[in-house]
Amino acid sequence: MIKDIVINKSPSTFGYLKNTWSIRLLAKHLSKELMMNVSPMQTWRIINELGIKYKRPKLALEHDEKDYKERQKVIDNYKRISSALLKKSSFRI
Amino acid sequence: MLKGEQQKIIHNGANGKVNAFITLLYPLNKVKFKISKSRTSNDFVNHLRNVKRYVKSNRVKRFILVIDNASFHVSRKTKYFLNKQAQWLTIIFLPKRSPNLSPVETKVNRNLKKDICANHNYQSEENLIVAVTKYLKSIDSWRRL
Repeated sequence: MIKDIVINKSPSTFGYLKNTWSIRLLAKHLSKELMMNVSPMQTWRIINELGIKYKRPKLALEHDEKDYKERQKVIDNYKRISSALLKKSSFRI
Repeated sequence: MLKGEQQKIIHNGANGKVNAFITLLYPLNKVKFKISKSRTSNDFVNHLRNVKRYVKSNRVKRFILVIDNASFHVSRKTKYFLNKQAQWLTIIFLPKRSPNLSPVETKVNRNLKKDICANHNYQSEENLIVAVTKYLKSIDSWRRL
């Protein structure tokens, strides 16, 4: 449950005015949800056991070109065979 | 995130910008703000008119305003307006390049950027305006200033 909340959901979906989870905020949320007092230290321990790490999100561009995937395939193909092509050309010289 | 993974924020590559004029009423920890799309002297004067309305309604005798040296704070138009308000308003300009001296910068703007603007892609400017307005309206209950 905690893993799903931290990884897939943003705090703003629960009505908090934040975009990223912090230990203190998660402790507050858990104690509200479980109807018992959960300390930030205990939350930190649980998160460590689940193997969750602090990480800054990465911006990813959304491409709206229709033939993006086809063009990407062509470029990837050239990347794959470029070393072989270079060897061939050096043989000719 | 789990080890070896990184969350992706998908965006379309175009950045929009929204300006917010924020005044922190210091001992009260309340915030007066105005959100506008441009950042000109006229917008700043409009914001000051809002502050003036608040000051007059609360019967504050003297209001001391600490501002930095942004171009729209020191422009001719703004100075003309400020000179007219001398009976209720005192202005203190911060030294150059020292935002660490103003409490609004360290207590409101920093947290606003950290909590609302960073690490999130709002689909439109309106969504951003709604989020910022909600945050600034609840700032005195949300965080101890």
